Amino acid sequence: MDLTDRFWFLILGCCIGFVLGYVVRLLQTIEKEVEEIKHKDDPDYIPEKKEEVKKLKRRSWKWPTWLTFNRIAVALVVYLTAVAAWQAQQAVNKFEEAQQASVEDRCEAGEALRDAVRSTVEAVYKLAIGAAERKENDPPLTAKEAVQYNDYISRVNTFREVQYANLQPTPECAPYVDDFGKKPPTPPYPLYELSK
Amino acid sequence: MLKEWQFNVLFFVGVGGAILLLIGPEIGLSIGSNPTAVTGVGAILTYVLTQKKSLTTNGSKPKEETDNGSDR
Repeated sequence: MDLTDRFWFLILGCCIGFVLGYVVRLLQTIEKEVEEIKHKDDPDYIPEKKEEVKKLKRRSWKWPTWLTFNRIAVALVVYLTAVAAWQAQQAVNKFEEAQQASVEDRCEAGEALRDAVRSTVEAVYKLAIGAAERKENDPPLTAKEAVQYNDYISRVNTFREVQYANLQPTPECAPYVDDFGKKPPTPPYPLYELSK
Repeated sequence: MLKEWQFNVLFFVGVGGAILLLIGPEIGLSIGSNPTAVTGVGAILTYVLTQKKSLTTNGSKPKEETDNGSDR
């Protein structure tokens, strides 16, 4: 959730709280005015005294007043909001951990697969080079044979380089694997040089 | 009933928590935010602010209670 979303959710919460507070204050005001109207002909009635009587009644542990239920309801709402937020955050944390573990497993599996493919590429390269390998006693090549020979060697070397270049992990997996930018284990087979 | 300075301290702690929820992830805190927490904090803080007069006492000032009637 980005900053803008959090801001608007906070504004929404403030609106809800403001409306609730306004409704509660309105009800409290109406209650007081009703009490005043009820006791308007009673010269001995004092609203402040009614508050003191209420407090005394609370201390004597009689039935809870509307105010007590109001406070309990507010405390319950606060508690439930906190519990819901805590549990939601725990669920999000667990999901992120599972996702992270899944990414690491996928990257490690990809590395094992790439290593197997590289082994195959090396085996093919060795076979291809072995077929064209020249020994010391071999007669020298003519110019035309040298061109054909070097063309073949270049194509085999390029094959290996291209395969290694394609066998790279994604940038997402780069922190979790060791074969990022891996090069062939041996240098390219040298080309034939015509003796002058 | 709280004294006014106690209410102010608690309220500003709540406001600090709301600000932390709002900008925490932006400044690198792994605090996380979810809609329920942010909405709930905003609702509770605003509700408590609207009920300040009934939650606090400035000593014996019962006239402030009757003044609420003129706030409508």
